[in-house]
Formats: sequence, C-alpha cells, structure tokens
Amino acid sequence: MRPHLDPLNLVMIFLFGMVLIAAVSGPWPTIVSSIISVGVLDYFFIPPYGTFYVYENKYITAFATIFLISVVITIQAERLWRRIILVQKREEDANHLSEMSAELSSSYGIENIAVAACSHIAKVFDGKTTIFMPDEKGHLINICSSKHGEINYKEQSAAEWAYQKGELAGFGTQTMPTATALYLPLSGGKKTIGVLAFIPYEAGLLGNEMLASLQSFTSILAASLQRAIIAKTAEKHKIDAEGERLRNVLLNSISHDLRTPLTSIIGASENLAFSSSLTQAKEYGESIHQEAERLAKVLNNILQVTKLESGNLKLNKQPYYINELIGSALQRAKPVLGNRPVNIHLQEDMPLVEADGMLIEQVIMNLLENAAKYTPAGSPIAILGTHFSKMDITISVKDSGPGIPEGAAEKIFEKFYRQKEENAPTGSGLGLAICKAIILAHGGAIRAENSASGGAVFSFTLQISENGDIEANE
Amino acid sequence: MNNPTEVLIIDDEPEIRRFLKVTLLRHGFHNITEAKNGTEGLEFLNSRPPAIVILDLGLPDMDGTDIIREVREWSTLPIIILSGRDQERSKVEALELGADDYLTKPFNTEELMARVNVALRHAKQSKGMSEAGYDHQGLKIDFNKRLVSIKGKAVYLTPTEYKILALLAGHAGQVVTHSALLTEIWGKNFPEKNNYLRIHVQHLREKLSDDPLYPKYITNELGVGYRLKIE
Repeated sequence: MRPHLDPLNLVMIFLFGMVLIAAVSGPWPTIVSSIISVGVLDYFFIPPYGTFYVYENKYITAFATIFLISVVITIQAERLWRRIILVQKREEDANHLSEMSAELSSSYGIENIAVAACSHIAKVFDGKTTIFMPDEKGHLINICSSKHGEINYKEQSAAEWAYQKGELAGFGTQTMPTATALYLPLSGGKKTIGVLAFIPYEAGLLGNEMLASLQSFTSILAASLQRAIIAKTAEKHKIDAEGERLRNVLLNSISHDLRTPLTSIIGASENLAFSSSLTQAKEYGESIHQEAERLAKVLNNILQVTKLESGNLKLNKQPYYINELIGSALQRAKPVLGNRPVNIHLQEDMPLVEADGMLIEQVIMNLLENAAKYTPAGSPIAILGTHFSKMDITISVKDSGPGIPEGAAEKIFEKFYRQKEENAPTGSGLGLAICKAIILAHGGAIRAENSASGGAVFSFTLQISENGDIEANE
Repeated sequence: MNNPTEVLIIDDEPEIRRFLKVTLLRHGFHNITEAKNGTEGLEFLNSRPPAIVILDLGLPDMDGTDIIREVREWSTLPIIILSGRDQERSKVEALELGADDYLTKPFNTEELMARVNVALRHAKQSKGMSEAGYDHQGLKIDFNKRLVSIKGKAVYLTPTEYKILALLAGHAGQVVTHSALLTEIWGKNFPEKNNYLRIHVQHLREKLSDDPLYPKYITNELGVGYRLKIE
C-alpha cells in the first residue's frame, strides 16, 4: 500500500476521521483515536517501518501538530454540543413557558391560576411546588400545592423573608440556605404578591440555568396572578358600588313603605285608647290589624331582599311535590286573591323537585300577588305546571291583566322597578326581584311574557330531584 | 270560665308578653306567669312546673333550645315555641329536641289558642286518657282495629301509609317533623329515605282524596313536617 499512499495523504484521512469522531462522540474517543492514528502512521508509514522509532525530527513536529489539531477539534466540537443542548433546553423551556402562559391566561380567578401553575411548574422542573399568598390579615397561606405534596409550614420564615424583601431566599441562596425549599418572590408591579416555594426531587444545588428559567416561569405566574387580583378588586368595587346604590334606594323605599302603615297604626291606636264607643273601638282595632299585616308583609320582603343580597342565603333544600308548594302559597295568598278564581292545571305525575320549600312558596305567592294586582276583581288567574324536560319542571302564573308594557319584560325583575303609568298599582317593587333571586339561587330560570290570549305570564323552572321519579317500595 | 291551668310565658319582649297574656286571659287562662329571660324561666320551671310553656327562641341570655333540652330531661310538659321567620333551622332543632309545636312571628290569636289547646289536650292524653281514634271531616281512624275510612267507606292503606297516618293522628293538630316520621318508620340514620317519605305521603293523600292544593286533612309545614288538621 505504501507506494500508493504518501504519509501526507494519510494525515489528511486521519484528520478527517478525527473530525467525524469528534462530531458524533465525546472528547476522549477523539483524543484516543488521534493517539492511535499517530501510532499507526509511525509504525507502518514512517521509516524505519515496523517500529515506533523515528529518525527525523520533522516527523515528531508533524505528529505533535496532528495531536494538537485533534485536541482543538475536540474542544470546538464539545462547545458545539453544549450549545445545541442548551438551545434545545431553552426551546423546551420556552415551549413549557408558553404552554403555562396559555393555560394561566385561560384560567379565571386566583386559585385556579395558582393550581394550574403549581402543577405545571412541578412537572417541568421535577419537584414540589407550593404557592403562598397573603390572606386578609397579611399572613402567608398556602394557596395551592402540586399534587406531589405540600411543603412543610416550618419554612415559613424563609417564605416570609422572600415575601417581605422581594428577593430569593431559602435553599441555595444567601438567605437561610438551610431551608429545604427555594423561595421565589412573585412580584406584581410595585409590590410582592406572593411566594413560590420549590424543592427539586433530585438533591443538589439548582443550576444557574434552571434558576433563570424558574424565574421566568415565576414572573409569568406573577403577572397572571396580578391580573386576577386586579379583576377581583374591580369586581369588589363594582359590587360595593351596586350595594351602595341599592341601600340608598332601599332606604327611600323602606321609609315610605314602613311609615305609611305605621302612621295609620299610631293614629288608630291613639284613637282606640281614647275611644268611648265599642263600635268605634272595633273599627280602630280592625284598622290597626290591617295595617300591621301590611307592615309585616313589607318587612318580610325587605328582610328577604337583604338576605338574598348579602349572599348569606343558604338554601334548605328538600324534596317537594310542586302541588304542595302551590297549595301552601294559595293558602297564604287567599286575602290578596279575593274573589279572583285560581285555575290550576298540572301535568300528570309531576316529579319531586329539590327546593327550599319556604322560598319557592314565597315565589309562587309573590307571583300570585302580582297577578292579583293586575287582574280585575272576579277575573281568573291560572297556574300551569308542566314537565316536558327530564331536567326540570316549569310553573307559570297567568293573569287577566293588561299585559307587560313593551320592553319591560326584563326590567320587571329589577329591584324597585315600578310601572310608570298613572293607574299602575303600587307595590314595594321588590316582589318580582325576590322571585328572580330565589329562582336563580335554585339554578332555575324565570321570565315574563305576554300571553297570546291576553294577560301576562310569569314562568319559572325548577330542577327535578335526583331520583325524583322513583317509585316508593314497601 | 276560669281556667286554673298555669301558663308560663318566657319572652324578653314586654309587649309580646302583654299580647300573649291579654289573649290568654280573654280565653279564660287566668293563671299566667311571665319570665323575661331564660334564667328566670328556668327558675320558675324548676320551682313550680306549669301546665304549659310558651317559649321565645331568641332570648337575651340563652338559646331557647337550651331550655327545651333542660326541661326534657325531667318533664314532658308541653312547650310551644315562638320563632321569627329567619329562625327556620332553630325552629326545626327545637321541635326535634321535644318542643310540641311552634308559632312563627307574626302570628294571630287564633293560631296561638289553637296550638295551646291542642298541646294541652295531648298532654292530658299521654297521662292515660289516650284516644282510640281520630274523626274529622269524614276521615275516621280506629287505632285498635287499624281501620281507616272516609265517610264510612273503608280506605286500604299499605303498612307504611298507615304508619304515617297513625303517627300524624297520634299528634293530631300538632306538627310532626320529617325527621320524626323518618325515624319512626325507617329507624335512625336513613336520611336518604326523604324522597320515599314524600312519595308515601303523596300516595296516602291520593287514597284519602286529599288534594295537596286544597288540603282537607294533611297540611304541609314547609321545611318542618306535616300536620293533621283537627278543625
């Protein structure tokens, strides 16, 4: 072979091989193969052939150069590898980051965001995560934990430090490095809004790379949380403002509705105390009774609305047949209905509904009262009950009145809405609002419309009780 | 018509006490004691037990239910509770603790006297003068023979339906809570039978031709229980 190959050619081939080896494997195979190459070259192609002995110094220089080149190639290849791995890792992180960011922006509410972020970060960084946020009193509390478990509460002081100073604390940092977890502050604008705690599963320090990407996750999380906090505050302000407005209207309405019957009662009772004739006394007594009943009704409505508004309403749900509730309401509405006949048509086999009996009775009563208000004496009112759906039943109350003015079908359920027409009957303007609030609290729907045959129809739905259509067995 | 029956009123509102007193006086009850809080009420109860107690649930110094709990340790004397519309839960609790009946404020004199009279009558019955049956608006129940009839026509009830009716008739005119019925019929710890109870009552009503829309016999006390009418 020697006549065909000059040592120079061979050097080229060897170098080429080394580049290939460096590209596909690590530094050591490259260096070992360069030593072998030099050895082979020396043994077979450099005189005296068959030995490692070298006569001429120029060959020694050549060998050293070959070796040096191989080392340089190796270092360069290694750098290239690291670069590639880093780029890949960054790309992965960026993917995870955008994934999390997408997930967070589609989550609504602080807790949902925290839970989503917790599980995401725990998965990506392979560790335990917890998010701490201050409660109303400013104490840090655990908002969520990834399903891998919770971080012990004794780490509190490190968490507090990170929260107060807005700097990293805990494991692997200058502050309280003995803590098991690393605490990253969640900074939202001017102030810190919480702390993310992280414990890697694999023991050992967190690399700078990892820390940096953990921090970029944290900043995205902080931004999302900040958005949720702002939304919550805005909502609270809105509710407060609405509550304020409501209180004012309520106060005006209450003072009128309470004062009128009270005035009559005070007057009549004063007269009663001084009356000398029994007939007169009876009259005053009756007047007091009547006005007191009216007062009781107004008070009941006000109490109901306050309870519904304050959100303190807890439904006492029990199974009922709707005819029981209608029967109860009819009994209570008797004085208001007067001589207006109530025709009731209930579909056969109405199933049990799950409801707060007293509240639904109140709804039916308010609807009957409203119907009576607009129905001339002697004209009929109708109650219709159907269960066409497997989910709920529908109850409608139809009056024989003038119907709902155009465009008022929605407004009618607003608090203190009263018809502006001159002859419109007066009321507290709360009855239908109470109906709506109660039905919504039950997960049902309520609406008002005009019947084709005249008069207004108010319909609401109620969910059927689970196993509402079972048959009782002995 | 001087009625020697002693009535104890426990209520912190002087005007309510006055209204109760005037009403009771008008109906012949002249032996009336008033207590303005729970401590005073318990003192009266322990020193000289009355025939009946009218007890407000919202007292300034203790919960009305505490008094019921204490009294029920040594006495079955009838207790009628007064509750506001917003005290639904404590009302049910009071009944489950052994109160005999309730009145929701505001109530009228008619309701008050009806509750008082029924409670006193039941107290007498449980002292040995047990009634053999129930007879109202054509509905007759013979407890001994376990026979139910309407206007002379026999009504055939299932055992559960009869049990429900008999329990209500045993406390005719008084409220019987859902949980009392459930416990009596299916034993304790069967709250899931709630639906069954409603269905059995529905069937019972059908057999008695008692339309829930216009109840003749069994009325609903929403959120509390049922009551078999007597007047």
